[in-house]
Amino acid sequence: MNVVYRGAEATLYRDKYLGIPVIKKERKPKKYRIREIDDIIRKERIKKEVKMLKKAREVVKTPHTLQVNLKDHSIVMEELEGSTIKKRIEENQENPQKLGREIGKMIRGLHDKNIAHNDLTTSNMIRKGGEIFLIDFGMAEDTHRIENKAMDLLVFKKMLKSTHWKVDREIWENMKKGYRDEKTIKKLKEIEERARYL
Amino acid sequence: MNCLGIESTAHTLGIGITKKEEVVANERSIYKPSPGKGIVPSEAAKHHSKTKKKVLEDALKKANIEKEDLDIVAVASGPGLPPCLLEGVKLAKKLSNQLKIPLVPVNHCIAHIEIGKKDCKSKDPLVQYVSGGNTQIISQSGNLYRIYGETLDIGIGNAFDKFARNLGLQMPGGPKIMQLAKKGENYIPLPYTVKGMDLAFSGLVTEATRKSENAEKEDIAYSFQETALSMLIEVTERALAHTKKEELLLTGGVAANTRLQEMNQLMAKEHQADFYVPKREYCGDNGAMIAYTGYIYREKNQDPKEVDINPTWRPNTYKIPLPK
Ligand SMILES: Nc1ncnc2c1ncn2[C@@H]1O[C@H](COP(=O)(O)OP(=O)(O)O)[C@@H](O)[C@H]1O
Ligand SMILES: [Mg+2]
Repeated sequence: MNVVYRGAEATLYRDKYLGIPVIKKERKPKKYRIREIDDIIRKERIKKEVKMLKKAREVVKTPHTLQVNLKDHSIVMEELEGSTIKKRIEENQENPQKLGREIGKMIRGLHDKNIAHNDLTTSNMIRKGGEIFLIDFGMAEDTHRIENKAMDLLVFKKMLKSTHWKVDREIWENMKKGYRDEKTIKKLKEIEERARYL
Repeated sequence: MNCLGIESTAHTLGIGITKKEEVVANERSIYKPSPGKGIVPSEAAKHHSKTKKKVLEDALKKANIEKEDLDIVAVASGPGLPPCLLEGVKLAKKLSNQLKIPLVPVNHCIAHIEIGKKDCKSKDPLVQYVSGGNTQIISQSGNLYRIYGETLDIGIGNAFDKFARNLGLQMPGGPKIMQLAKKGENYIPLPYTVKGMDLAFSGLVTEATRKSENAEKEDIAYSFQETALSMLIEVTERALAHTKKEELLLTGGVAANTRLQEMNQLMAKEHQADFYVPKREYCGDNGAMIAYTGYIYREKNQDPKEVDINPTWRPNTYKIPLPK
């Protein structure tokens, strides 16, 4: 098995499962934190990831989970042969207007299903065969609260601003057009105005 | 070229002097709130107003120059507490007018980063900037510092201080919690709040305070510190993986926390990143960082009449000058 990605939370390996290409995502213990916290977080995140991947699949594209191992905190899922939206934006392979709208629609679908992803970044979106797949549900939550949905949008907005600063406005404006839920957008405005960082 | 820098964004009234890029003076006086209380901005401002003459004299003496030898005056005009900022800006304008030298408004957060980079010889770090009021994960991309993650409510330093006060500990609370935590053994689960690369501390303070009633002080301090710092390292690690930077720089007053240093060191190592902490005197608020940043950003000088305080000034709006 070869490491394809060493992320913040997890290490990802490429493997074969019943002959098909898969990704094994393993949450290794972190040396910097005490055992008690490390255990709670790794357990909670993997359970959440499996549960929310499944729930989200009813409204957005997500990879199928093939195996879950709570002992080594790993899940095996189908490999998406494509590239992250982050990479595609950096390589000018995305049309910001179309992309914004597409992402907006996708997030709206999640939110209507009462799911807040809580780590909406372009690294967690993979384009494969013309469609965007959403991954990395370890911090997602089941929620109907509008505040949580607005916060979900805020994470994405801030990420765009820091990382895709050449096209962030274009993507964001179009994201709102695709999202089309004025109430949550209004809530987001309120949160931003209250926050220190405006 | 001599540059004088004035820092007065919060507790510290600091005045530093640089000769070109070299720091030749870094003097300060720190306001101490009355026991059991947090900072009262108007009281802090009074302290700054009362001590500025002495600190200025000390700095000039230390640098072994006269006022008239100054070429630039720089001031931290934000972000910070308005009454405190006003004191610094007033003094800066006075000197600028009196000596007919340019005035450079400096962003306080960026000054922390610039002096840290200089002191550690770090080129392009991911910065974990942690102080009383600020908690941000920042790095340069293009000609701006970008904020990748930050606190959504209070700064981590204030979270430590607030929790310490709730435990009835004397100020400054942060170091007291750290000392107590060293003797803690039992972990008491506490809320852990991270959203993407952002984080929040209020819920943690409230719950830790509530649980402190039925726990040993050492244990609750230990649990509080481990939780708060784990959250901070997690978002920093996410930003490090995200930006692929090869250096990590810890700065701000909370950088004095040795457990935080240790955790950063361990995390950075796993990503093959170099880890840096500037000298203590450059981590806390200080005038030298303002002087140094004022000097390297000197083409940003302004007409003193136009310089005003900017209490909510975000570091991601301040263009970094291109190297000459
Ligand atoms: N099913 C998958 N197929 C292909 N690539 C994947 C898959 N899952 C993750 N990746 C790649 O690995 C990276 C990290 O995975 P992710 O689940 O987001 O972990 P982390 O929590 O560390 O961010 C993603 O940004 C993506 O590039
Ligand atoms: Mg991810």
